[in-house]
Amino acid sequence: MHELAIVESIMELVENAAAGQKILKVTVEVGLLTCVSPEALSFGFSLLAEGTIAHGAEFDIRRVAGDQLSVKSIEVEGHA
Amino acid sequence: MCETCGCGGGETTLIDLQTGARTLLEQQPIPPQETATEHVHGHFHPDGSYHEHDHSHDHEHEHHEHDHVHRAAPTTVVELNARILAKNDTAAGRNRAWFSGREILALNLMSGPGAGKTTLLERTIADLKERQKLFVLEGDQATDNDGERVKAAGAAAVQINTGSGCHLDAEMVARGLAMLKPEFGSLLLIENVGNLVCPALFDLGERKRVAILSVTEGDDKPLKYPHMFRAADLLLLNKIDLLPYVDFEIARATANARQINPGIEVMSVSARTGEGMGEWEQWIAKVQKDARTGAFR
Repeated sequence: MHELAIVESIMELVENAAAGQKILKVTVEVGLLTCVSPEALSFGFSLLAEGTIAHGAEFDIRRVAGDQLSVKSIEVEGHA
Repeated sequence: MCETCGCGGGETTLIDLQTGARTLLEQQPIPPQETATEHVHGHFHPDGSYHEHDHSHDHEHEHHEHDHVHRAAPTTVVELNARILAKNDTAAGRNRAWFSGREILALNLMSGPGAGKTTLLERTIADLKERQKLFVLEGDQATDNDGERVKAAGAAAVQINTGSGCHLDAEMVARGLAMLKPEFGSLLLIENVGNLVCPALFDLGERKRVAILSVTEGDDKPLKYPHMFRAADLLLLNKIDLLPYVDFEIARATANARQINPGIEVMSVSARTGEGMGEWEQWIAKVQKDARTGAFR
């Protein structure tokens, strides 16, 4: 549902942060009180990452307390 | 997800119902990130040797007391700690300040499809239009049917068609406001896309959130869709004229809503017969007074 809109925001954040380097892993924190389904989020990520610098990246979802919804970190190829 | 509810990056159209002008909303340019780009790569072993590997955190392997080099390409972890909805929340904050400066009371009306949001708006507009200026932002995936209905009831309206999107976001509201231009001191009613899940997550800059649940939907909805009811300030139980025909108990619905959100106010109305509308309109007047005196929620 809204997960795809959330993945769009995630893609913006990680593509900006990666500055063109290939993204190997994205770690997000999803609060238990948010109405966000981890499965739908993963599925959305695999769809939207296709053909981008995040193509094939591992998508690590950490469930945390509260209504937090954030990108914790990304792992990119090469040195910063 | 998107196959079931049709949500996604669809094209959003604004329709000015006063002039009939249609505007296609373009994607906003992506602002540069201002997040820190600290990074870690590689680490020193206790014996002073250094190695790099493709996971610079949370990896477990035997540490040997000798130098070794991994063949994997060096990688870098970039710590972001960035709120995913920060962009929406920033836009919502801008809307909120815009409303505050103009003493406009903005209400975000959310419900599943068919709960009677538009009928409630029509009745509210008919009841209040002699006393004050009303403006409506009408969200739907398609058609301007609802916008035309509230316009016929006496409010200036802009229809926001979200295309495949299943909720309004703060940026759509900002663009809608630029077209609608609600007057100083007016009441702005934002009718969200009919959906009991997604709209709860997106702050539009409203002062209060109103969830509408009709008695034909079942009194266990607050438990089935907790996010919407947790996010709401007021719950309107609508279509109470149909209570004799359905297995719905006001007390049970109220208890279920308060189980999710102890502070939620609950009122019963029938937008069709007008029963209970007075209490709802008094509630509007009260929060409007707060908005005018500049009290922040």
